[in-house]
Amino acid sequence: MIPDTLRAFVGMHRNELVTRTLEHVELVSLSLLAAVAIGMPLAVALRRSRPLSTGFVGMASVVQTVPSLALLSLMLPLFGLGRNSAVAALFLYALLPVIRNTLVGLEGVPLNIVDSARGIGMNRVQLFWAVELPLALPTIFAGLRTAAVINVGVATLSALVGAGGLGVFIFRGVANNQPQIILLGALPAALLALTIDSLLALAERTLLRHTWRVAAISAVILSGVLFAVWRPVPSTEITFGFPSGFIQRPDGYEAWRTQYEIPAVRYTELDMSLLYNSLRTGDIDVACGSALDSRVESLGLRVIADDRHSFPSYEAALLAREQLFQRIPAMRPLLDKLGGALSTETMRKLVRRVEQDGLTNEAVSREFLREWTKSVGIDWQERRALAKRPELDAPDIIIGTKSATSQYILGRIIEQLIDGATGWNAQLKSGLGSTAICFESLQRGDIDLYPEFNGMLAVAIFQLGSDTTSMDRLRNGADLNSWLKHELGQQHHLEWMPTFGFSNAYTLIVRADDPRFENVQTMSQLAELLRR
Amino acid sequence: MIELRDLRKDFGAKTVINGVNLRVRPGEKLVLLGPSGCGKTTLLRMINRLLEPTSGSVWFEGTDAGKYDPVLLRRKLGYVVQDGGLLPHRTVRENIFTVPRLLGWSTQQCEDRLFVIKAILWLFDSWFEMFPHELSGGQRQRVALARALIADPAALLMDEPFSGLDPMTRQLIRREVRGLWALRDKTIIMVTHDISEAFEFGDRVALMSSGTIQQVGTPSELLFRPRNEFVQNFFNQTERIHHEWQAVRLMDLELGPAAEKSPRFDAKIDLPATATIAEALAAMGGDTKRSSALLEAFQKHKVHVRAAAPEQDPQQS
Repeated sequence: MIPDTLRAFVGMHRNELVTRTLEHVELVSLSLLAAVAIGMPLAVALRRSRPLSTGFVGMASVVQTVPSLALLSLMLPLFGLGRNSAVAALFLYALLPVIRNTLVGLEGVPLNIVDSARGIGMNRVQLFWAVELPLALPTIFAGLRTAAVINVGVATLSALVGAGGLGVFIFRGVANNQPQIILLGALPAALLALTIDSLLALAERTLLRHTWRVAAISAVILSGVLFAVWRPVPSTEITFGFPSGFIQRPDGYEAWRTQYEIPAVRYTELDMSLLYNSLRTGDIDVACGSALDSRVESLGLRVIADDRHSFPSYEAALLAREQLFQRIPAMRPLLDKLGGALSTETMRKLVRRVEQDGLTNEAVSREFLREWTKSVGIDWQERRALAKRPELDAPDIIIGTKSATSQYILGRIIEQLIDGATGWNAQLKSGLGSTAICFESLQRGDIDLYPEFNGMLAVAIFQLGSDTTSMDRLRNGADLNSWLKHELGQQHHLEWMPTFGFSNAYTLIVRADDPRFENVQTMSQLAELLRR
Repeated sequence: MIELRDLRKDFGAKTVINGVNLRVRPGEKLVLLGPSGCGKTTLLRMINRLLEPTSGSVWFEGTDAGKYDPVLLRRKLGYVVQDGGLLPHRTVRENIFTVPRLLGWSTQQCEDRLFVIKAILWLFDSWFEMFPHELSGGQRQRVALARALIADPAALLMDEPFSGLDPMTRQLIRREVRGLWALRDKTIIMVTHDISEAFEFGDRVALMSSGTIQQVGTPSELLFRPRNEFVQNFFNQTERIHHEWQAVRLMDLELGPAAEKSPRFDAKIDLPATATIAEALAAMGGDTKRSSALLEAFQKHKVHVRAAAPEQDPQQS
């Protein structure tokens, strides 16, 4: 039974699994080969000079300490979205083990053997290829294998910059709370690490006794790397950029294609935070972003209208533990007031204050609270909100949020509302990774409440949309809220509070000056363009 | 064959070799003997230009060795170091073929030459596909010797070749090597700090101390006609009498004036004329009659060497 399900599951994803694995192999092997092709000759050239070699090893060590995601992002401006940035970052990671182990390996060649090899008449070149390199090879390979295993792991992050690889499954699974999809990426990645490690061990044994083959193979490899790196990427086609969640959601990519009768499009999967920049640099032509984002006009972009209402629109509300209201009954009337307090227009304005005017989240939320509390008659004292010293006072209420500007602002609003209007002490834990993580934390009691979108909960937690009945429910906002309220209360002892009033939807964004979209105002027109 | 003229080597401010003159005759076994730190290895390494002299010159077959490409020069000079210095990742066969390969020999040439060399060095066919670490120390040293000799070098340089071996193996392989027919006409320069080794191996011994040669001569000459106090003291150790027996060979006894009367030990005890007194005594076992006759002849030889007029040594400044 279980193997059958497993087979069916893997079979369903087989094509993509093969593609992603190949992408992963490509990322890891290109970066490793580049590290060997550049790092080894560098180490060999530098080994006679101690200050230079220590300098380079030091530099490589510093690179190694840069967090992987940061390093990836730093490569983006240089190499653009996609494989090259990922390969560059992985290459930098692999460089340290390669350089250091080459130096250590060459240093460790026994002096009497070098001496006698020179004594019987080997010149420098012969000495290197016939004696020093083979004797250093075990150490060099140890470094290479370390680098390979590290890179297989780090390469999963490449999915975030649109380079594909097995990380795509992992992030998609995390975004939509599908552990089986996470495993679909994680297990092959682990297997891949083991495979590459044992292949390298095998290569080491073969190469040890035939150094001339090492030379020949390195030459082939080097040309291969150069060929692969300079391989031209066709760019005339329209490329879409989709966040991981959109692709896997039942009401996402597939539903959109069906609705507008759009053929399969070429797309890159990448993190929401990178969409705008990639669109601007031309790495992608159409981005699927969030309607709450304020940067569209300021970045010279424009939105394509969803004239057939295919894109799901999700309403936001607070999701809280029932236990919180048993513990602090005063919280319910206070938080209930937030229902309808923030229209989409208001939310967008607040986001703009942060993203365009450069204000802090705190300042923007205080600005909002000053007006709003007055209009609904809450006794909110700004001074009390400001006087809080989180490092001294133990928190009574912990608020979680995900990582988007609107979420950060919302978190601050709730925190300062509680601090300024009650004697309770609220603490904010913002930037949690996904719906699944927030929901899990809520159930464990690590957080007491967090703002969420109804559609996200419905898909990630209740798997709505897998059939037509539940798809209808997913698309009907008002129905969805009362259904969620009931289910969450019954099943999880959580409370789905009144909605804030704003909603978020995916939107399609293009560059305002892209001539290809000159006459495209709506998605129906876009579909026509794509069908051509 | 090989001549050192006014050699001097400084390492920074430290003078390691200070004016050495030495002439090595073709076919001669010359031993550089001295306490550690006396510069004997430095001297050897200047001969095949692993080190360049600060001043002075090395002459090889009548040409200034400084004019040779050092790599080509080294291919003409066999080189054996302590522990053999074999390449651990290559089989014995590949190790032995290293120099011929560098010289561009064909596989057939290599194999032909190996056939000859394995007979005279008593190498076993079963070793050839093994790796150096699978052989014993003595076997490895024989392989190192084969590697040094296969390309028939003009001379052989050996740096403490036997010092990594245990005492028994060491004595055995030392005698083995000395008796090798293949080495009989080979010019050999060997570095050692071991007096027994120097006396057993060397036709002549150059005793070195603090960067200079104190005396060059046959083992008997060094022992019985020391040129200065250093030489005298160097050999005045508890094993002196044993060293004396090692320094004199049976053939030396016959060369003296007393040769007519002395018994032909070689015939009676079945030892070659090159055997030392020490070896002959060992071979006689408890036969006191014969051994006392031998020691008598040995005493006469000592007196003779001491009495002989100091030979003018043209190679020694």
